[in-house]
Amino acid sequence: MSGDINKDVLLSIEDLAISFDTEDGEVRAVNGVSFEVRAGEVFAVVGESGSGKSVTAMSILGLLPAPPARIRGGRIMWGTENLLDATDHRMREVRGGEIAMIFQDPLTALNPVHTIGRQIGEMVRLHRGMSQQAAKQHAIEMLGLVGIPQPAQRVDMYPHEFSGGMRQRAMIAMAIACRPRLLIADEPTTALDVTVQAQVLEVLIGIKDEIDSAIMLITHDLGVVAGIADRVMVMYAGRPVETGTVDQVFDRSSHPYTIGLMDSVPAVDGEQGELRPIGGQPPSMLRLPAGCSFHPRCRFMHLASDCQSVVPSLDQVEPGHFAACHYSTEVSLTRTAERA
Amino acid sequence: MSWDRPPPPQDLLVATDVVKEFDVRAGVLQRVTGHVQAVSNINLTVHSGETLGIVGESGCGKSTLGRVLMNLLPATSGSVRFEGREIAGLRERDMRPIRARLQIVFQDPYASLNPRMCIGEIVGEPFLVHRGMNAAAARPEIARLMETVGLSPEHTSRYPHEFSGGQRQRIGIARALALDPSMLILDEPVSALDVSIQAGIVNLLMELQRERSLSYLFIAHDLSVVRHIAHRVGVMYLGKLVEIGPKEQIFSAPRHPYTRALLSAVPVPDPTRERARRRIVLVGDVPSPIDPPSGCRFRTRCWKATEVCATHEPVLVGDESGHAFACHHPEPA
Amino acid sequence: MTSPTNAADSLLEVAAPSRSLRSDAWRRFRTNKLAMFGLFLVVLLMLIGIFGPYLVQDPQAQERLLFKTGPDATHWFGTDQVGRDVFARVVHGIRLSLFIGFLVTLLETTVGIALGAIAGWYGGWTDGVIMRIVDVLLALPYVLIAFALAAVFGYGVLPVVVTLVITSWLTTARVVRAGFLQAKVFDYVEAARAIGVPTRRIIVRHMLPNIIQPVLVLIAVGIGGAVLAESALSFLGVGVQEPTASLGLMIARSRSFFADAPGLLFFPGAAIVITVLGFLLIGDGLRDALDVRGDV
Repeated sequence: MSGDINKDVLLSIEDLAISFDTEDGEVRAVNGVSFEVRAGEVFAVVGESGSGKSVTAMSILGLLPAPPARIRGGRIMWGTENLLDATDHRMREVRGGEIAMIFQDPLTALNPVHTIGRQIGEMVRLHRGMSQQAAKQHAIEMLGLVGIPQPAQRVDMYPHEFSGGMRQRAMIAMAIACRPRLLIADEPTTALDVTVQAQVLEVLIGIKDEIDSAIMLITHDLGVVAGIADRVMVMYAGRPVETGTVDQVFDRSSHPYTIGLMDSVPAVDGEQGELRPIGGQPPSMLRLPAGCSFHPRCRFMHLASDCQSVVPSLDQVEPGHFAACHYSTEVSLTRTAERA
Repeated sequence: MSWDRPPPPQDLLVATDVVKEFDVRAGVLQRVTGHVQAVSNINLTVHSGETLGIVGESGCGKSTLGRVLMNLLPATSGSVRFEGREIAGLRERDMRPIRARLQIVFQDPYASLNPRMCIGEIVGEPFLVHRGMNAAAARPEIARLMETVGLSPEHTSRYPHEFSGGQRQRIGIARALALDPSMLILDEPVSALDVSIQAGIVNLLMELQRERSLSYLFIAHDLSVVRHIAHRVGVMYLGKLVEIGPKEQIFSAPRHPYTRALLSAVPVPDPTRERARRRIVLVGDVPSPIDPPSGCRFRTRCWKATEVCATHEPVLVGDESGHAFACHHPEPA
Repeated sequence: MTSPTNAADSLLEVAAPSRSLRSDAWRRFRTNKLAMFGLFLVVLLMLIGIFGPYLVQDPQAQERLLFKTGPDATHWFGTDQVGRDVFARVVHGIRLSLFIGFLVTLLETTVGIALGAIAGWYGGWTDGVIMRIVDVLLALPYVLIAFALAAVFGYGVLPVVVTLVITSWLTTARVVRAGFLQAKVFDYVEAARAIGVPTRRIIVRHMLPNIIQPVLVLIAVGIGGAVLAESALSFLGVGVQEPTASLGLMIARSRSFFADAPGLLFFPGAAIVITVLGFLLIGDGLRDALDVRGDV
């Protein structure tokens, strides 16, 4: 995928394919995902349940349980090394030290029997070899960075003494303690109230600039993406269906699924008009439709024979903007006409 | 499709000074140490054929309110009149015939259907309980209901786990519609569904409202959905109703600072419009409902708070258009 | 009336065939080798217990001058210290153990479900009283209770059955109560109340079927436990008395002859072990098979 070659590419996923071996058969969760995350940007991965977005994110840090998960193919390039080939020792260095991850539910990600300060400090003691004292100071500094008031007192408190939004910030503090180059955020605000979500998103953006890292944001919320992302990749049934800058993908959507998403989401400023749900059901990951996985639900061109037999590849729509649809030009023209 | 004309008012559900308290227990013997007012002096009205949206964040008491209005939870005090009858405090035996007229749809499509009952039995249970009709007798009714919500009647012998989330929610709606109620309480009916499925359920609900003149109390935290479906909207914070009024006024010209902050915090799925918005970011977290702030409960996070906000609790005051708000320093109209 | 998109929604996934939760559980159980082995053992033992006594020699018949002989063609397990056929006695002993095991479990499950349901559903004071009774009884060792009852009613099957019922219903009640406490707040129970379903139907049709799973496991394990406990009580002399054939009693009597007739200890002992093992394996298998999330 060529693009803006000015920025450094930090992470490059090439043709990643992951399956889960279950009682009912092989679940093909990820089927050929390729994308890049560049330094300093916010890259959003958008999809609904079953799209494979979380599985992709977890595989980067090797967090998938190895049976039942199985990497069928592809490479995860972090700089010049393929993380899929990395030793356990190397992965432990990478996790937290170079790539950090924050999760949806801070309650389960934070250890309830250790203080926040200790958990944050653990990161720098392990990765940077800091002393206990220095680590505590660093933890206080990190808590301040994420906007937690009175960090010197809070550093000795336990997770359950924090509120939901604070816990999420504490988790962010833990993640950035070693100044990772890439921060992966898996649905970081889904479980939060909307006013708290606004706070946490603000923290994330501020942090990104402060420590000069990139953010890979996994979410299903199009509003969040529109607000903070630079580039976005839409996933469906384990494959990317559209990628590009946020303006390109939102304003000139060229894939029927993306269009379906945009048309089915109401907007709080009332500019939406009629809601148009996407017909049918999400596909069973045990038995994906042949050809384009979306064709049974596509309202544009589903009668076309190649949609039913040939898997579309990501083709360029305009520089930096790609869509996996045999008829993306026709689709986007129809869309423009509809909105006029 | 958005709602422009408010339907003719006829007070279907009237809540007056409704309060719901829970006991706080602590210690080895679980003694009662205090009370939490989950719902605090709520006054509202739902008119026939309209949707009243109730929004608020977690802990504001909206779900509790829904259950109290249905008499699933007994109110601590206050009055709830439905179709002219007082229902707060009614015994279950007397409440039963009213249940046919006032039904509820739950949030979680996975938990609201008994996994050991087939769909026909689930949708047919209201007929069994209220009209003594067994499965065979109710079959044509059940088939009709399934079709109404967009499901095939052939699937009545299947079990909930064989259906998707969106389909289960439709089954829940079919069950609620069985006895032809005049009002539905919907407690976050689409929050647990994927975004593209939500639209289908919302459209179904709106279609049903048109066809049957149903009234809805639509409880949600997702303001975007509420804007789409509601005629009037009420905003709750820590058990209190801080603002209520016609939808357009609430969304375009909110008077209460919390409403304004809430609206500005909701992201819009359009980068151009999103960039143009000014966001108010509140400071601090929601206080604990066990020990709410004195006076105005929102003052600890409000950028306009003054001394009077701590000493005097603001009262809900309305104008002729039905727009009411409780604030000492309301936003300009 | 319904829009085209709704019609598409009505199409179910043809991929997954209609499968009830019960057949899912059975399939899981079937593929568990240990569980199936346990099932095989139990079925075998039940056949032995039901039909065996008609096919073997008289367990009370004493062959003079043939004391403590080893296994041979006529006496497959040999004879005991008074010349009785050990094989026949073991078979009768199995029948007795199974009978007591099933009877005790049937009674204690009924009492346990009833009291557990009452405690869980009504809560409050009722719950407190019942649970305190459970706590007190749990603290008493069953052997003491057995002896106390035997002192009143005399030895035999009665004190054994009563003791075991008194001590076993406690766990069942706790499990059922916990199930009720959990299920009370399930949405579908609330939904049933919202429809106006009467309490009795809510408990029977909505709550019990969803609580029954751990109880099934308890039943399987309970039968095994009752067999073991009965053997222990008989061993201690509280249970059935001579000349009735009881596995525990046989073991007790054989202790002094272990050196020259180990079979007198081994055969009844093995019978007890195999019986208990069979039920425990079924119980484990049930637990694994039933531990289902209905969804992914």
